[in-house]
Amino acid sequence: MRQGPAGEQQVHPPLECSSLVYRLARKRSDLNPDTNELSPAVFIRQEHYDDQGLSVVIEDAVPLEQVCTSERYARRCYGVATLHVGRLRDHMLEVEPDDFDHANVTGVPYPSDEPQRAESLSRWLAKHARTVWRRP
Amino acid sequence: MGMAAVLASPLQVSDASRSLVDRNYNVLVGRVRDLLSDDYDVEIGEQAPSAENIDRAMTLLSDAFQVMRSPFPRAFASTTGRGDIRIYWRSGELDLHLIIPADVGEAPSLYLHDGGSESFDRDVSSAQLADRLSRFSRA
Repeated sequence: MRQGPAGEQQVHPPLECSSLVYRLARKRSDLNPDTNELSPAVFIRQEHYDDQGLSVVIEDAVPLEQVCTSERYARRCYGVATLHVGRLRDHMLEVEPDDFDHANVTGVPYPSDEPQRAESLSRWLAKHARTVWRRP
Repeated sequence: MGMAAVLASPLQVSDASRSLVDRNYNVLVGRVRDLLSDDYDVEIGEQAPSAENIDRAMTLLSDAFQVMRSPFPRAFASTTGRGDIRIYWRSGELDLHLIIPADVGEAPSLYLHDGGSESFDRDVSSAQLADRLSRFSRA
């Protein structure tokens, strides 16, 4: 959970099951060049920006064009896919907001901790993600 | 041609099929090499796979390709940006992930999802990879 300007912890309301969240492709190879879908590698938890879970942007809070262009979300963006919060919950994953525009998908292990589950979830997440934008 | 030579030859297919098969393999080789020049954010610690790791991936793929009796399936290459190499094959309900860790002292592994079952193998050999890839010709 992120802290406010005075150091107090801010509470963010839970997301509705009907909500969507964005996961970003940050490199060229994050996209399957044959299908333009996000690679399962995008859904492998990364130590350098997924410390609280898979980092996602809340769709209701940010226009898609801003997600693709603002350095607040990624210094580089090659593609964006949506995930349906209710579907994630059906798969025993939770989405926990920690800012007005940001959340973490929890329940996804680091591959160094649980390699088979990390691969299994990356396959499932890639299969259920819908690419909504890719760099022309 | 003796039986040993037949067994050692990579594929027994028509010239047209062979051309298609070679193309899939060659495309993948190019995609693995392209990982060297992807757009890494070095300020957050991302890095390309090392040349040594690229070589390791190429050797594994080439050795598997040489022993395969079935067409080489289409694949693409990715990385998490930590020096690892990940190669993905997918056809219907069949998914195969080859993971080549950044640390060359750590062995490659294979994740297979086939319909309702899945498996994870560590310390993967080229023969194991070829065996798993042969499933795609039956998928």
